[in-house]
Amino acid sequence: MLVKVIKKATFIKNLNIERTLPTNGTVTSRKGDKVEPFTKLGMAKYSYGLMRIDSSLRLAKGKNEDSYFYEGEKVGKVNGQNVYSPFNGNLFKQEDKYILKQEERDFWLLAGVWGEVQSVVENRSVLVKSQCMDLALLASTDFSYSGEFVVFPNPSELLELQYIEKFARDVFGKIIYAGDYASYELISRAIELGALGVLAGSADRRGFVLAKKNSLFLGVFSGFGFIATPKPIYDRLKEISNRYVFVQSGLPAQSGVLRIPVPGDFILSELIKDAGNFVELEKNMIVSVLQPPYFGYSGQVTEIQGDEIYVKVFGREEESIMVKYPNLIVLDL
Amino acid sequence: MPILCLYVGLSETSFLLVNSAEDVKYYSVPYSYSKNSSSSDFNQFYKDITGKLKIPMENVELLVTGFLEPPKFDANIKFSLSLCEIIDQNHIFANYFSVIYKGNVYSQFDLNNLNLNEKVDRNSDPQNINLYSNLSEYSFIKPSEGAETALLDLLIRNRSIDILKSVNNIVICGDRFNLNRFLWPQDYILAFDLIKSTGFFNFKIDYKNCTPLIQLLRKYSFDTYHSIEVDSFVSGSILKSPGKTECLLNYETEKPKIIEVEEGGIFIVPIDQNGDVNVVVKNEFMNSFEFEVPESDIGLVIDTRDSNKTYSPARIKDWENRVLEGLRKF
Repeated sequence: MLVKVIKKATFIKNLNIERTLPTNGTVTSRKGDKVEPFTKLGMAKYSYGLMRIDSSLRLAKGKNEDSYFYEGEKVGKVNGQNVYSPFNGNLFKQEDKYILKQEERDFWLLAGVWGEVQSVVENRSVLVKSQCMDLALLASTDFSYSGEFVVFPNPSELLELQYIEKFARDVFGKIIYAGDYASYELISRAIELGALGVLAGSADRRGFVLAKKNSLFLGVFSGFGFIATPKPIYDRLKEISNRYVFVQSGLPAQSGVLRIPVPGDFILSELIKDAGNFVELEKNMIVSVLQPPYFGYSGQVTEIQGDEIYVKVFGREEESIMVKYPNLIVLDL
Repeated sequence: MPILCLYVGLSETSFLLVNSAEDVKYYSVPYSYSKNSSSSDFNQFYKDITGKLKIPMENVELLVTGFLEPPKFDANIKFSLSLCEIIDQNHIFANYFSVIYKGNVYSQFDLNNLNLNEKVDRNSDPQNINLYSNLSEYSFIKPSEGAETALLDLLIRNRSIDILKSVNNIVICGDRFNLNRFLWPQDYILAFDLIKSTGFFNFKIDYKNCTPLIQLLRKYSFDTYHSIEVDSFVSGSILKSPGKTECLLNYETEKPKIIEVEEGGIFIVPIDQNGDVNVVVKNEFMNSFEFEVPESDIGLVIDTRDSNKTYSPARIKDWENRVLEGLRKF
């Protein structure tokens, strides 16, 4: 019986990754340099925060249009409401608005990958030849970011919000793997805390609208509603917590990928040789079940009887469940 | 040169390899191409599927159709048409999302909701949106039990069609009925529900969904292939007669019979090979009329349900049992 194959993991060799400073600065690496993820490639002075204030602002006493404000200091009043500075920064007027710009700080550009510097654009960017493992997503919002990857240690649904609170200080500018399910509330909180991306087994479809509106990368491995992440994928994610990763929509897969930089000697084990889009189903193949009540769970084929396929679900090995053909896909990881 | 017809549906990909009007082979896999869940493009998908099914790709005239539009890929395509262009007046096409009849697509769900770049319709139930979104990604999933089938069928059941009285020999087809198994009572009931009009109709259910492929072939060359047939149909007749109905059945070789069906019921009368049966109908809401019922696989389905009413699960179970009884006879 022919079954569809989903290739979830792909090894990409000779990948050119451009690392760019957010503004002109100093590039310290040179062509031919060998780099690792936390190798510093360059530095720029960069303002991380910007606050727009309505032109009806009545400045605080002793302040003028180009004053400096400390974090928490009163800037003035807008419509009778006090406005406080969320950071140390300078005020200036631009067209019909006031802009409070955070004081510039050092921005260190990290390589993020293992590889070799191919070329340098002076003061601006570095092109690194590298290699990555792509984990395919089923769907994602249309953004691309890179950052440190935080994997919540417990993938269960109930604890996710507590984890995000626990890790709250560390979420800013990072990409989170939230567990089997990213609820609307979790997505909303991740946005408040300044996360760049949220990955999960599944998410509420409405969460994509919220994420898109707030420029958050939201990617799911399995589907919509509550659907678990296949265990072999979660096992890979656990291994890369705190690593530098890229999340990317569009190419190479329309639905987006989690791009994990890997060292040059990395070998991706291919479960099925040259499977293509279809394979004859055999015992011991790893499959993703697409039939309630185990929708999205992964397991191993133990028996095939006509159009009834028996699968031992990972984590529930004591029993085999029966899946009706074609309600499964073969996972090539 | 042989002709290869390709149909790419939402939950199936099927082929008809036509060496001559008499030498026709049918192939089908219960999977379709999805941009999101495939790591390759359609060219590779097509290459893989034809390779696995051992279907020749060279030296064939390739004709292509698909839901809703035929796929575009790197092949020497001789002829391609959208599904709406090949579905004729007497065809009702159904998949899990929509119903096509007379060039119109009826869908309960706004397909824009499936596009992640579009806003979600606030009036849509979030669970339904998730269900549809999953179905769009894994469009090949088949309900594994009756309750699930009923749930999914709800999404298209009320897209049923007012068939023109002049249309007879209705063909009910589509991915929904290509199930890789015998049709279940629920499948028949859905087919009955898709015909909304009152009156008498002969019908055929295409349980392999060969209709798009045959229609494509006929549109390509009607003169050569107008009579081509593939063994993929279950035939029957249906009397849609909401409300209490009495039927007088006049047989050519047997004594007449009177059958009375209460409002909200389904009853199946087998029509065997002893000639057509003349039926006179009396219904509390319609004028009496009569018609001839030809021999068929299922027989005459007397359907007295009101399509505007909601029925209890016990009643639905009763219909299923009635259909099962009828099918046993067949």
